[in-house]
Amino acid sequence: MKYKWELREAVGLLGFLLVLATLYFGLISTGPAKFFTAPNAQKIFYFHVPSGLVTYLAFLMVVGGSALYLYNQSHYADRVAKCSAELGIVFGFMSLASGTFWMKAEWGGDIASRFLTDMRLATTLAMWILYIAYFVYRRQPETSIVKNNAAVLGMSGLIMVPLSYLSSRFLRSHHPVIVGTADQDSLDPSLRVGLYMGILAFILLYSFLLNIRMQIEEMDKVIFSRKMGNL
Amino acid sequence: MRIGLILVILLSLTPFSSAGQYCHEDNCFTNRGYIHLNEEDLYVYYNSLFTIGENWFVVFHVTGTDNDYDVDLSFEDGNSKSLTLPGGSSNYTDSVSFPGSTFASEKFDFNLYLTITQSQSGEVVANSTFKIDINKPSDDDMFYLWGGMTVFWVAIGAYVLYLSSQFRELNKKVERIEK
Repeated sequence: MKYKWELREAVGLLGFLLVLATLYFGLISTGPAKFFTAPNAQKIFYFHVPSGLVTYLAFLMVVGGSALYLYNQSHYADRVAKCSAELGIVFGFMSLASGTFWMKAEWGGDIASRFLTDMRLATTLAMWILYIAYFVYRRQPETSIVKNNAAVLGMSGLIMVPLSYLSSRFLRSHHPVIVGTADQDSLDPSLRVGLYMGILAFILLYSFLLNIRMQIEEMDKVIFSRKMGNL
Repeated sequence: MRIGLILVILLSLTPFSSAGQYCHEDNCFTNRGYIHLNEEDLYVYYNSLFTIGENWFVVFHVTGTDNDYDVDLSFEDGNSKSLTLPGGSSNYTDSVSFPGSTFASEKFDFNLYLTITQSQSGEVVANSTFKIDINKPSDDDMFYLWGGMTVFWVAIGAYVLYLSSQFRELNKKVERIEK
């Protein structure tokens, strides 16, 4: 148990230090980006992309946990799904809000109409709202029916995550696509270092926060069962 | 058919029309230089302020040209452009433009070297140095950068506060049960 605490803290600390290193790299080490209308706002990229990717990761964890719960009624898998959904909402907020700032600086125009007409933005917002519904639904006493229904709702990420991720490739969208395209190789090396650092930092932060959230959930269960035992 | 042809011509001219937004008139420049060549008078018009992000022009106006002249303009960091002033006309005007992305940071009293060579003989007939300031306009998009960054810290900070309040609440519950 003691080892687990040390590892978790080390992961959290490393994640935080990498966030600071990404900040240094993005804001200080590299100058204003070329070929952008808003070269300073472009630096949001170093946090926007990693938070977006971690949002997908978190919601995929919800899908995995929900699937496992529906398969073998694993309470651990259900807890992973519940806690990961919460983190997905936090990271999703970061990605959507930071993207909105960047979009306003780079593209201009009306924010609401952008969200309604750009398929990447629309599907990502829909996915995020869907998991808010999941989060709200789970804030009630946890009976097996609630857990089952939540698992079914959690499985919707199986459609929503790929739909959001692939929407900018196949549907109407201004959102740039980098991974798996010719643009990936043209990514400036300095940009690449900051991006990879940011992704690693956010994955470590996600693991750290998920671990803490899982512990809280576990403690809550223990307290609840003790209370029931006292009655 | 005819309308289609006119449309095609108009559309093909559209990209060039954007050049019209830049002023080439004498009164659009803050500085005027005068150089006397062999038989000709050369006037050089330029702005002493280069604003990053905006195209920057140097206009050459030569009177009574009999000879061809090669004009070479180079900044002290190596960025250079050249053009030829052809002979055979009484008044000739031409310009050189440097794109707004030529510089990325501010510089003061930056040297721009002008060398004029007679095309036929290769003889350097004039050398001159202009000093200009390179200005970076205010960063309007900084607000959005700080907005985007604030979102990250606020979100992560609020979530960590939420987790710590959950921990405190649970610890209180444990204490109550133990009592």
